[in-house]
Amino acid sequence: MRTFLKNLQNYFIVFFALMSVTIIVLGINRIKKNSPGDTAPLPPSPNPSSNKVVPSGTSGSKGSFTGNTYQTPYGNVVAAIEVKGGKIIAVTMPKVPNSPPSIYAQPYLVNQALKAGNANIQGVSGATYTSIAFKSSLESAIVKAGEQTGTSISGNTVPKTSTPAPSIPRSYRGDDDDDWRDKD
Amino acid sequence: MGIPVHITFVGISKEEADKYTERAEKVFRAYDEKFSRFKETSELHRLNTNKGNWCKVSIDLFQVLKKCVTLARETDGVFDPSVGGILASYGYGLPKDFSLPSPLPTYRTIEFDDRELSIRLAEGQILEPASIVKGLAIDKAGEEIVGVPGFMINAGGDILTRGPFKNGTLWNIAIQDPRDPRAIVSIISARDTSVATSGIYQTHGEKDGKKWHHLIDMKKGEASYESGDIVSATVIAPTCEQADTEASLAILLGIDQAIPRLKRLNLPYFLILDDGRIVKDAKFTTLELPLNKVEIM
Repeated sequence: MRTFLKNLQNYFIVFFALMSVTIIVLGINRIKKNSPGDTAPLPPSPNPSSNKVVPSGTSGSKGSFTGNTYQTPYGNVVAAIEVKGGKIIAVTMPKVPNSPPSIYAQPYLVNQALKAGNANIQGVSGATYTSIAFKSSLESAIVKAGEQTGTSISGNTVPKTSTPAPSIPRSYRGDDDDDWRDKD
Repeated sequence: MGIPVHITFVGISKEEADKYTERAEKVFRAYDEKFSRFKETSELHRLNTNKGNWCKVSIDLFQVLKKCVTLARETDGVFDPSVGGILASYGYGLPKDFSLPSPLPTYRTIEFDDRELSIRLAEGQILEPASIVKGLAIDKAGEEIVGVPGFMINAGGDILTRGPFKNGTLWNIAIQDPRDPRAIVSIISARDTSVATSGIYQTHGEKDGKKWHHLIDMKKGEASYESGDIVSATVIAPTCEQADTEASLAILLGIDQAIPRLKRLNLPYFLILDDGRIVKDAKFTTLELPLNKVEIM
């Protein structure tokens, strides 16, 4: 009787051991069948030709778009825009001409561009090259954004940005013409 | 002229805008062909290289050079169209490899024959009337655009506006920072007026280790400038010719003479001195858009 019970115990041990192995093997096979590349759908990959679009996971027109490069006597000018929901939310100048550093010029142009959806200055008296180049590059960026997102891009209702409001540099002091002599 | 020209039309179709643009282009091309010191085919070049002989010229060139001489007299020779020789000797424009004669010819050596419309220059005298010609060309191009509700011509930073911008609003015109092409230092709102800025920062170079710019005091015979001088002058006037001319003269004359002259002519002005000071008159201020107000969205 004792021998019979011992054999029964060994039988159950072997049986459950085999069952465990079978379950593990079946489980591995099931995992393999569900692995990516076989049956699960892949997320859409970004179009390699439009690598300027930032696929951030939201629907609609969203992304960063860089305008054409325009040459000026001072160097190349490029404008870039960031679009969200068909609206321009940021305008930057990733490439600016070589010139002395300025803490106020770039934000000013950028704010102007944001305000009206394009540069809200009809002309610049002086050397106009940069202004024209910036506006042209900005326009081309807006066109690209419209083409790649299939929507009309506007900037008229853009939210406020964190760009600090620039001011006339301290080195420029507006003087009344009658007392300019006293400023020396 | 070697400058970009942009024309903005308001209230007309694209076809009409193309038509007027073509007309304006013809005007600029004609002025360039006639008055360019950079083209061997120009009438001015023919006069400049006539080696001291009488030269029959068009009435346009005759009148322009007469105006130049009048301005030279008014400014006691500080402005002088004979500046072309100095610029050519710097390698800026024709004739090539030009050596300055000595003594330097001045406006006093230019002879006019009113009856024959002929001009005789001294040997080696090279004229450059660009200070007047660019503004004249813009005004003339503007006269070719008729029946258009509003338009703006911007030729190399000299601007002519006629009529309003969109929806009857004024044109916003910024003034460039002379130190930084990305920057502006003021914005004015205006219509039916001309704005010109002249500065020693636009056209300049270096010759034999010496820096030069294109606005040369002909009394000194050089383009040197001193502390406190004007580096950028913006003038508003009824015509581009006057705005451009007076902006150039302001720099040449210096602040002591420029301000009384501009006041006498009753022209709004905005001057930037080389130490950063801005000098402007009350009339200019009334046209200005406060920068901070513009920036608030």
